[in-house]
Amino acid sequence: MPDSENQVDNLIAKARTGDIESFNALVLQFQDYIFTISYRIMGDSDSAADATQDTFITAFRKLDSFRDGNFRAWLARIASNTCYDMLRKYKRRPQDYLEELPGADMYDEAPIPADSPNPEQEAQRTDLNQAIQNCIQALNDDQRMVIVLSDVQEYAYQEIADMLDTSLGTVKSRLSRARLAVRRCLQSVQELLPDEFRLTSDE
Amino acid sequence: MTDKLTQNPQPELSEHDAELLSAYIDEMLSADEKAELEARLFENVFLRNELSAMRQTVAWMNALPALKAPRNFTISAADIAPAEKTPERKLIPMQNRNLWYLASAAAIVIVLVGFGVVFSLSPSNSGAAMRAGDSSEGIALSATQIAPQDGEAPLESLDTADNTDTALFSDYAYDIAEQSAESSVGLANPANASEVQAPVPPADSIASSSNTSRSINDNSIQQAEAPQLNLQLAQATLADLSSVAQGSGAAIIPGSATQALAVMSDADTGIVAGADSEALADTHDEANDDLIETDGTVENEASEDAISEEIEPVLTKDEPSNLIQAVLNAVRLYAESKRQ
Repeated sequence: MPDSENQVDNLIAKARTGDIESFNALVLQFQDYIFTISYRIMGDSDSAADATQDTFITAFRKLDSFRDGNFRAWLARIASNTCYDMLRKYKRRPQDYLEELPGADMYDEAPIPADSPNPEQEAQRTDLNQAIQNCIQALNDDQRMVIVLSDVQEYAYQEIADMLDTSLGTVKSRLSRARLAVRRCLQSVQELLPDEFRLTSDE
Repeated sequence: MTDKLTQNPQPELSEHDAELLSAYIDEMLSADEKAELEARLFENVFLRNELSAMRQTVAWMNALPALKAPRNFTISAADIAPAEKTPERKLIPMQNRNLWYLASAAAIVIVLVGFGVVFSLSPSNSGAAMRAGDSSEGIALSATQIAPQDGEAPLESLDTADNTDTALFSDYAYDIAEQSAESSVGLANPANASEVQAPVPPADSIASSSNTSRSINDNSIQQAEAPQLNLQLAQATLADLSSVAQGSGAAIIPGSATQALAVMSDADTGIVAGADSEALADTHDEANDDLIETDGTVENEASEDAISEEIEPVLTKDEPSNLIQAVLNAVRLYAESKRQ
């Protein structure tokens, strides 16, 4: 919508001059989005919250480097880099997540979906969503970053290549491997899933 | 992978095919690739199933719900204040490791210099001393490189040493360079003497100074008529020492004055420090006490143990050994030689 875009542009322009309040209006607008990306990459709410806060602090400092365009994508790029640095720092390994397959008591910390138009349907999907998230967590960092940006957040290959400062070919191969790995991971736990959510090998 | 229900083993999707299917889903194949894949899909049930499964996986991930931020992430002025720099490493080492490296490296340096002194005194080896000024590339631990240049730690030249032994000096030299403003044993460029207090004070002031320690007291240095080290000689003698050591079959193990002393013993140069090992006993404890005074956070016991472990096997086994004293003795001999 043009109005909201103008509003975002206006806020950005003000924020560039150091107006923190204007920037915070942008924060409120995009924090769900950035938190979601961060959570999908980091796998837990605390890390995701840290990454989200760092993302916005970095974004404010780097506002001068934002060329007009897609502000949300620009924020997403900062978020993915922030998460990547955090993952490197914490050296989290896929083995950490083997314990978190469906069945483990994860629901206490599960973040709240932004909207649940159909609570009943949402409840049915909770197991599946949790299984998907766990299988995403089981990926290595590089694969997880790509699959979150591509399949969860639906960025294009080239956008992802730019965000991660890598090549198109690398994005392609990482994504295909990630998808295969997630699919196989889901198959291994499919008996825990409701029938309609099971992957079948034959039609 | 075998399908437990069927007789035929389940084929596995190759990485190449997985990439094709994945790109196909995203319409990222070329026209030719796409046509070729579609022809295969038409014929191959397995491939079709794999495609279907992959599409489903992607669809489920697309459907993951957007999440709600658990709180507001608005920023404050404090958040964007300039980041605090991590505290610079203090000039006086705050940890055992730094202290140990410093002491080790200092001892190595001074002992090697002392060795070079003996070298130059020995008639048969006078030629070695005459090689002063020649390339010292074989030795990374050159005097000027140890000295801090405006507080910076010169690492690059150290890394170019072709001697694997000397490459190990880089860590030690780094610590030395960093801390040599407080350290007396760094072979500083004489021009920086007043800043770094590095020139070696005369032996008399060392032996008699109650402040003898790894970091020789500021006062004693400033008051002393410090013999200026001949840097080139130091470099040359270090190079020569290396070649002598290799010739005698002994290897210099950096970080251990013990080994340096062993080398000296093998080379039969009079065992500069070893001969004076008896003198080590007395000031050992005193020196360590001074270490404590200099740096209150040093864990005395640990550093003592570390020092003792290294020196004891080579020097006298009966007497407490002291890395620092080995250093100081070498210094004394060098100072004496300069007076001759």
